[in-house]
Parts: sequence; structure tokens; C-alpha cells
Amino acid sequence: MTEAAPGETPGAVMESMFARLETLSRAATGHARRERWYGIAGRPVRVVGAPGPLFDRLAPAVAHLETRPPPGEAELTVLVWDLASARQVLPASPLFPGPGAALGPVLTTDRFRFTMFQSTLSFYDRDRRLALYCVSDAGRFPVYESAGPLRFILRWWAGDHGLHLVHSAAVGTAAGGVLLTGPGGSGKSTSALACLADGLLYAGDDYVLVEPDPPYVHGLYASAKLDWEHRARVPHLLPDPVNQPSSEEKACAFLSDPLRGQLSDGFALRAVFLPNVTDQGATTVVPASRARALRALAPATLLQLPGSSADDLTALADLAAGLPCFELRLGRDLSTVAPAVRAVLAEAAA
Amino acid sequence: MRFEVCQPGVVHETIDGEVVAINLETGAYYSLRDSAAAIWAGVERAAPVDEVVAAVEAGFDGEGISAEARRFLGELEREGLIRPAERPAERLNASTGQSRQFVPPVLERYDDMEDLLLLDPVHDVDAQGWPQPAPGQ
Repeated sequence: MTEAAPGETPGAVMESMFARLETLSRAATGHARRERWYGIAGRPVRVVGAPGPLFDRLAPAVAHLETRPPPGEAELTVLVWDLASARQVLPASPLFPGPGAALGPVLTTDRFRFTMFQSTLSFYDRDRRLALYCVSDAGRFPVYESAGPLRFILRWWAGDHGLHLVHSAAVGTAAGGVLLTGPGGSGKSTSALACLADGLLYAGDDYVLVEPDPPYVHGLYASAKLDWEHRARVPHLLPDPVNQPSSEEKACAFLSDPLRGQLSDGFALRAVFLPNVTDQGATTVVPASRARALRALAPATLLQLPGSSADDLTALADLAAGLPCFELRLGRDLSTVAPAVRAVLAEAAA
Repeated sequence: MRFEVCQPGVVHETIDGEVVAINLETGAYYSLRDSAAAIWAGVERAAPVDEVVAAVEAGFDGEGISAEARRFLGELEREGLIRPAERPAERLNASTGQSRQFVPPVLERYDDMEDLLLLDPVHDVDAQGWPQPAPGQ
């Protein structure tokens, strides 16, 4: 962050920049503005932008949450635009990271949250429940952003409602489900997709919103990702990736018909599962310590989301402490994953 | 001499007697159990080293506890998890329950998440103000 003008408080700098960017966004959207409404964690969220590639690329991952405009106000409005389409440039600002700075720090005041992460700018005004989401060029919008759009803004907004954005998959039934958590390569997505293929509900494979007390997971993104190499071994789990094989990005797909009915907007949480790829034939489940569950949950969540704090870790510790935790020893026969999950759910319900 | 946790860059929680600490600046995370967790409990309260050592000696049976505890504090400091304390000390709770057999403290370090942070250094800022990753990222 470069220096602010003498006498300017961080709050004043943020407020001034938010106003300038809001003006840019409204100019970019103009009279052709479109809006979509979503029910996120049961709350009305409105996304407003100009017709065009960015507006379209934000939509597939949250299409299952789209709703009709509700009679009341939005609890969050997000203005989205891309500078290239609008032929705009960012105004200079002391908020932007300078050369050599770590990318992605979150600048925070009581009222505002701001970050620039890779090709996106996210800015949230808590008082107005208004957010700005700007990208440099929608034509170069990465697939991983399409798979989990607006996640910084949704994290900040959800935090104001006592919800936590957690790096986990979640599968289950209407009566309850499990979080599947762990670092990349642990088998989280494979487990979730194997459960989806077996008929379980699916609330996400990467980021979900978690309500801690009582534990409840809200589905967020209808996307799924697998390493290309792994996908080649289990193509039936991710049949129609939207991107081409590359070393830069995982294979990504958006779940639609006939799986749409299995996309869940949420269920009560009954357990935390820690997938672990093994050489055994069938999948088995063994108890795991709550500390191990926290080691799986917390680093992946906190380190992938800049701006994390001790409070975020405490929330995850409370979650791990409040649920039974299990290691999910993934067998080579992936048809055995869902029955193992169902067995734990049945025991929890008994 | 007193130490404190390097907050806010280091966050930590204790669950079922195991400390899980995460260095948000490096991406490394850690597990501390048994005598290591007991030493951490003292650092968490910015207690004087002598009191930390005394607390560990009260909770564990064995030889060389003082030397091992001091060595471990040095390891935690070199790892960037703790630093000389500026905040006031809090009272250390007396050990309750039976003493356990002392095993030298171990810092279990996990670095499988460090790549997440290394992926995103800013190398430069383009003409429009957008941060650009370093070449080869």
C-alpha cells in the first residue's frame, strides 16, 4: 500500500475510493443494467451489472440459488463490471498494493473491506450492504473465479451474519450431512463427487458457508473441480469440464441437469470427515481427533482467504469441537464412499 | 525473560490438549502436544521463562526438563512463532492432576500449504494499477 495523503485517515481513503469506484461501476453498467437475485444462506442477494461476459461468467456457479426478486430489500447488493469492456482504467489509489508487496492483503476499517486478489478487486461497505466487484478484463476471467465467484465479498458479508466461509466440501441428506475437509490432493472433491454420483445431496466441493451453532452448512457453489490427471482416471465423476486441460487450472464443471436436484441449499451438519487416499479396496471410516480435524479445516481455509484472523480460527475450532470427526479412508472402489458416509449419518440419527 | 506469541501473524487454538498454530505470513502450520503444549500455554500468557519451566516441571516427571524447555523456546522463536514479550504477563494456572512422564517437546511443522502463499507475490503493478504476479507464477 502506498502512502495516503497527509491527514487522510484510512477510513476517509476507503470511503473516497469506494465512491469513485461506485461511480465507475454505475457508468460501466449504464442504462443496460441487468440484475439477478439469489438466496444465499436464505438471504436475498442482488447482483447488478451490464450484460456481457462477466455477468454471464459469474452466473453458472450460483445458478441453483437464483430466485425471483423478493418483495423486500436485498441484504447485499453487488455491483459487478469489467474495466476492459467499459474502457476504463483504475484511478490511482493508496489502497492498491505496490510493487513487491504481498498480493491479496485485506484492508479493513470498521466500515469497509478491500482486497485485490489476482485479477479481481473486491470492496465491501458494511453500512450500505453494498459491494463492488471489478475485474480487469472479463475476456481473461479465470475458470477458478467462475467456479467460486465473489467469495471475498460473500465471506465478509456472511461474517456480519455469523456465518463462516469454509474451505470444504459438503454432502448429505435433507436430514443432515458432513463436511469433507483437507488440503489439496486429500480426496475431498473425489469423495464429494462420488457421493453425488450415489445420490447424496451436494452443497459444494470447495467453499461452503457454515453456521456454527447449531452446526449447519449452506450450499454456495454448484461447481466441482478435479486435477486433470486424477480426472483422467475417474472421468465419470466429472464428465463435462468447461475448460481445456492445462497445468494452470484444475478441470472444472458446473453441475446441472440431471444432477440439479441434488444441489442443496443446506443441511444440518452431523460430522467432519477427513478424506485420505489409501490403497485399500473399500472405503472405511475411523474416528479422528478433533485437533486433527482442526488441522485439516483451518490452514486450508485461513491461508486461502487473505485477511483471516484469530477469530476465524476460533470459529473453526468451535466447529471441530462440536462435531464427531472421522478419517475417511478412501478405497480404490469409489462406489464404497457414499455408503460409508451414509452409515455415519445413520448412526448419528439413531 | 518472557516470550509472547507473534500475533496477529500467528494464530492458535488449543483443542483436546493439542495446540494448532498457523503462521498466516509463511503458510506453515504446527501441532504441539504434551510438554510442547504446556510450554506454549506459558508463552500464551507471556509468563516469565522461569515460571514456564516451573509449570512444566510441576506437570511432568523426568530429567532435563529445564534445558529441554529452554531449547524448545529457542526453537519456537527461530521459527517465528514467538518473540520477546512486550505485553504484561498473565498468571499461570497451577498444574492439576497427576504428573505425566516427560518427553522432550516436539514442534510438528506442516508446510504443505506454503505454496498457496508463494503463488501470489506481487512482482509489479501494471499501468492500470493491477498487481501482477512474479514471472513464472
